[in-house]
Amino acid sequence: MDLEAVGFSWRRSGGFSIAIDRFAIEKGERVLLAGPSGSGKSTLLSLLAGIITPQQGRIAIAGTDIARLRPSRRDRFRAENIGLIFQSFNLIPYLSCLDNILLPLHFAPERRARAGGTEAAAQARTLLSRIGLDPDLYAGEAAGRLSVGQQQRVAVLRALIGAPGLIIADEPTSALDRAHQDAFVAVLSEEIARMGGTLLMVSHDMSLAPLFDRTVALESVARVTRARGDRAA
Amino acid sequence: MIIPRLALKSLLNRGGMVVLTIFCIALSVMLLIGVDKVREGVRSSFAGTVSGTDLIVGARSGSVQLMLYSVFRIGDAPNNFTWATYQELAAHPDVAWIVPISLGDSHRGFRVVGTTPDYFTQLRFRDDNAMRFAEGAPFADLFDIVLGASVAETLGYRLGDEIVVGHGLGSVSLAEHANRPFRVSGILAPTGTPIDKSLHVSLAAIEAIHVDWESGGVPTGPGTSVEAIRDMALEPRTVTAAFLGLRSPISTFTLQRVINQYPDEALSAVVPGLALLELWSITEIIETGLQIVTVFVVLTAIIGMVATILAMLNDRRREMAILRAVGASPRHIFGLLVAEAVFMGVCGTLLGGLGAYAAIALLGPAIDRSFGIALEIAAPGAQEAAMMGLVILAAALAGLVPAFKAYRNSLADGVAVRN
Repeated sequence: MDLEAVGFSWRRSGGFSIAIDRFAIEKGERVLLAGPSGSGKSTLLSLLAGIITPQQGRIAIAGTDIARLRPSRRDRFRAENIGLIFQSFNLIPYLSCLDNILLPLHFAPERRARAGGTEAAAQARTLLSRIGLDPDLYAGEAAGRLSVGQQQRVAVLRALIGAPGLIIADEPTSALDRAHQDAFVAVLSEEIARMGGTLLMVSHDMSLAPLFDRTVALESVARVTRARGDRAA
Repeated sequence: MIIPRLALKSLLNRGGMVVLTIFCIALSVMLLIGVDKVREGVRSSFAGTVSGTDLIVGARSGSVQLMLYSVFRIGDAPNNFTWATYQELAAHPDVAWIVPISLGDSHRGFRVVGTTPDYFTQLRFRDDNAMRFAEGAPFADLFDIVLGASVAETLGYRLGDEIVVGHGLGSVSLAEHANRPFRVSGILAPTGTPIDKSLHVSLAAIEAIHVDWESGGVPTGPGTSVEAIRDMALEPRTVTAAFLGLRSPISTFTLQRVINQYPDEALSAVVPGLALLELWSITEIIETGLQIVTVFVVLTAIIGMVATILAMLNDRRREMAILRAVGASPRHIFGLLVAEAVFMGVCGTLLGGLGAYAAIALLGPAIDRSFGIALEIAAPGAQEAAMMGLVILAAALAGLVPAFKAYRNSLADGVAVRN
């Protein structure tokens, strides 16, 4: 993953803009990106995920400059190559755990093939048992009925299924208490290590730093300017 | 495909709102189909009222007016025609049978019809059904009277009861022919036509009622006694209209022309089917108005559906963001919202169609008894299918509105929605 001379500014968010000269992560690296709220973390993640496109610069993920892709290709690229985990509310509440885990595969045929094609459901059940959720009890359970901790763990499986190259996690532990935070990070690290993916996790909690290969302060890679107001993007 | 599955699951999850929306659409579709069915029912019931009659003859008037007063007993005849003319018609070689009616009197709001016993055997209703007596027999005596089914039921009359016939029309007759009561000799089985709301006496009886009324004013002093009337020669002087059955339908238009150009009296002869067509061209305006109203009811339901989807949209931004995060494009989001609208449209329409048929099956017999309108339960024809198809199409088109909004939201929000 490699960002070069990226510039982006929100049209409506009080003139908020972000500029990144260079920010690269090696394949298989686990990086903790630290920064206070309002420092442009979410904007950076949206850029990386291809949800928003920069006005200038190059965002290369696994060698593809996603800033140059047409929007539909970019959506497809995201489905195939990126797993996203949010702070909370990661799951669609009316779908079962299993359906939530398998959801990205519907938009990404290659990833579905990597997840075993028709065997993907069986694989998802195996993954469920590995994170301590009995598939017989939880596979068919509506995601909205799970506890927050359970939901976050299921969200990890959704991000990991079909082994996308890059996992982006946006403060995934902030809604969890201490004990669950550690359990969550343990599950995440273990599963990412198993599939050999790259992890970029944003957090303001520096106590997690020992669990990562490298910690990067956001201020050191990104310059944020605001024309007026203090609304974070 | 994941999108229709997602749409279905999302709707199932939303329960109450969705059920109410579908219910609204169902009700409106029910109304749409119901109005159409009633329209068809009214038409076929009207048409069925004059089954088997080739020509109707009356004093010169418009064909619709003649149909209305002679068959449906709506409105009054402009004039009667003479008994001599009637007898000439009856003797015409093309005429197989003739039934006269003499109108103008009433009993407690129901019309009294002077006629001949052939009335009960020759006139047909609804696909050539003959009249049937529930009780008793046609009038044999001068003061016998035969009641239609509704008359007997509404007024609680039974065989052998004595009733008084009023002169003129209206439910409260000022001048009742109180000294000459009639005896109920027969009660007809229900026909679902205006026959049910009529009382039938012989032509001679009509004359008998009017003995002493020749001057036109209320008779004074003791009237002519019943015995004296029985001794009179009560030959009818006029009749209001006559129903004709012809030996061959080929002669219908020839005879119609002959009657319309009758030299001694100004007559009109109408072919019931053609007169009905003329009537439909008048009622079509009302029918169209009613249909426009029902179409607007359907539109209201669909707009309600759009409002529901739009109202839910804000709560679903997180859901859309998740879908975007896992790789759904804004087009997928658009498709999801349209699919939800289509699902609700289809469910509502099918439910409404079923509801309409269920209502017809449940209420049909009661409507037939009360209004004489037989509602048909036929399998949905091309017209119903087209109407239902259009409702679903309208729902799909309406679904484009929230779909477009969600599409734009998902472009703007990306995955950065905070809840």
